[in-house]
Amino acid sequence: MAELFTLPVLLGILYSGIRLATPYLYAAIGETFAQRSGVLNLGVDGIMLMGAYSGFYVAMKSGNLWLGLLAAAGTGILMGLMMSVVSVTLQAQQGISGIGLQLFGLGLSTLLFKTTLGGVKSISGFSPVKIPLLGDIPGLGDVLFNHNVLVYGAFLLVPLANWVLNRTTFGLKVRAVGQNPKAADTLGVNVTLIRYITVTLGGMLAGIAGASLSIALINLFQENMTSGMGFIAVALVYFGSWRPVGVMWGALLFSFVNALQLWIQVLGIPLPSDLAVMMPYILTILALTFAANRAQTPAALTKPFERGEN
Amino acid sequence: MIDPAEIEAGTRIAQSAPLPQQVWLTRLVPRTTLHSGAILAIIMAILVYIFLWRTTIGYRIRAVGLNPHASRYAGVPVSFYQALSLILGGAFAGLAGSVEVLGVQHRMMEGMSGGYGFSGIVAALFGQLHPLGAIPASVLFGGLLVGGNKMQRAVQVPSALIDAMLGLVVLFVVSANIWARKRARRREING
Repeated sequence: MAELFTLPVLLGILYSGIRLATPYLYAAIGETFAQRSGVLNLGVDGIMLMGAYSGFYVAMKSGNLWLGLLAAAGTGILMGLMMSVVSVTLQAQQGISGIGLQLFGLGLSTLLFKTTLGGVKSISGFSPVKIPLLGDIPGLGDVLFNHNVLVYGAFLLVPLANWVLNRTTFGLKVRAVGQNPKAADTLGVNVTLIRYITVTLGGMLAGIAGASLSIALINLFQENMTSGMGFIAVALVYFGSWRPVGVMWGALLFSFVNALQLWIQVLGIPLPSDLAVMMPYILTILALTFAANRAQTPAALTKPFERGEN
Repeated sequence: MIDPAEIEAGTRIAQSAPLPQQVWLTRLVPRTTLHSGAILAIIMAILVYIFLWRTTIGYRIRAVGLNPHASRYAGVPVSFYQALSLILGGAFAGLAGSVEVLGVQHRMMEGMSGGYGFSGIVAALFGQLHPLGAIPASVLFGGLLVGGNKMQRAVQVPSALIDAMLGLVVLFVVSANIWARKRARRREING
C-alpha cells in the first residue's frame, strides 16, 4: 500500500483522473442542459458510441482530426434531434425512449464498425499541447497543463455552461422551461424550441464526448467502447445537482477513484481487480444515495409539455 | 471459480468449470437449447398476473404506480410497496440469470448476460407492462436475437443490426403512444 503514496504515483493519479474525466464532462454538461429544460435523455451512451465511431472513421479516412471532431458533433446533433422529435414532439416516455436511443446507437455503431472497419485499428489522435509558462511549473505543470486540446475544452466548457445557464436570457428560458413550462409558455417562451435546442446541444456534446475517447484519449474504436459511460454521465448530472460546477466535481471524483483503481492494478497491490473496477460504481451509488440534492431537481423533468393541458 | 482447463486452453473469456449434469435443466426438444426454464417462465408470468391482479398486495402495488399521492391518502405505505416491487423485480432478474446458467450455458462466464437485461426492459414495454403480454413480447425478442445470430452465420450480416432495429422498435413504440393518448382524450371529451 505504501507504494501508492509516493509523489510520482499521486501525480500520475491526478493526471489520469483529469484525462478520464474528459468524456464524462462533455456528456454530463450536455445532459445538464437537456435536464434543466426538463428532458431526461438516457440515450447519451448511444450518442457517445455513434460520435466515437463517426469521429474515428472520418479522422482515419481524411487524416484530419478536426474533421473527425466535426463529424462526431454532427452525428451527435442528428441523434439529439432524433431524441427531441421522440421526446418533445411525440411526448414519448423519456426513460424508455432513451434506452431505445442507446440500443440504436450501440447497434448501429457496432454494425458500422464491423462493416467498414472490420477490426480494431488505431490512429494517432490529438497530441498533448503544453501551455507555455504554466506548463513549466515543476511537477504540477505536466499534470495540469500538458493535455490534448479536448481535455482543455472539457474544463473550459464548465464555466461557459455555468455562464450560459445562469447569466444569459437563453439560460433563464431553459431554467424556466424546466421548472414550469406552463408559466414559461404563458410568457411567450417557445417551450418546444428551447427543449429542441437543449437536447440537440446535449447530443452534440455527447458526440464530442465519444470522439474525445476515439480520437484523443484511446485513439481507437471498439465495439461498445463506452461500456456504459453515458449512463454514468446521467448519474453525474444528478450528483452535481444540475449545476455545471457540481457536475465537474462529480466527474473528477469519479475519475480520480477510477484512476486510483487503475494504478492499484498497475502497481500490483493485492486487491482483486474486479473489486477495484467496481470501486467507482459503488462510489456513484453511495454518492447518489447520500449526497444528491433532490430539492434542485427541475420540477418538469421527464414531463412532456402540451399546451392547454394540466 | 475459473475452470483450470480453460486457463490451459487459453480462451480469453473467463468462465467457470461446467456444472454437474444433474443440475442442468431438462432439454425439451433434442438438439435445440429449448429447456424446461421456458415452461417455468410461462408459469411465473401467470403467477405474477394472479399476484398483481388478484391479491391485495398486487392491487396496492398497482395503485402505488398509478397514483402515489392517492395511495398514500388511502393509507398505503408507498415506499414500502415500491421497495417490495424492486426487490421482487431483482428476484426475477436473478431467476433469469440462473435459468440461463442452468439451462443454456451450464457454466458461469464473463459477459454471458449479453444485454438481455436491456432487451428485457424493451420486452416488458412491448407487452404493455402486463405479465401475460410479456410472453409473446419475449418470444418475439428472443426470435429476433436468434434470427440475428443465424443471419450473422448464414449471410455474414452482423447481428448488431438486430440491436439497432430493437432500438428503433422501442423509439417507434413509445412515440406511437401519443396517438393512443389523444384518442383516449377525445373519447373523454365526447363522453
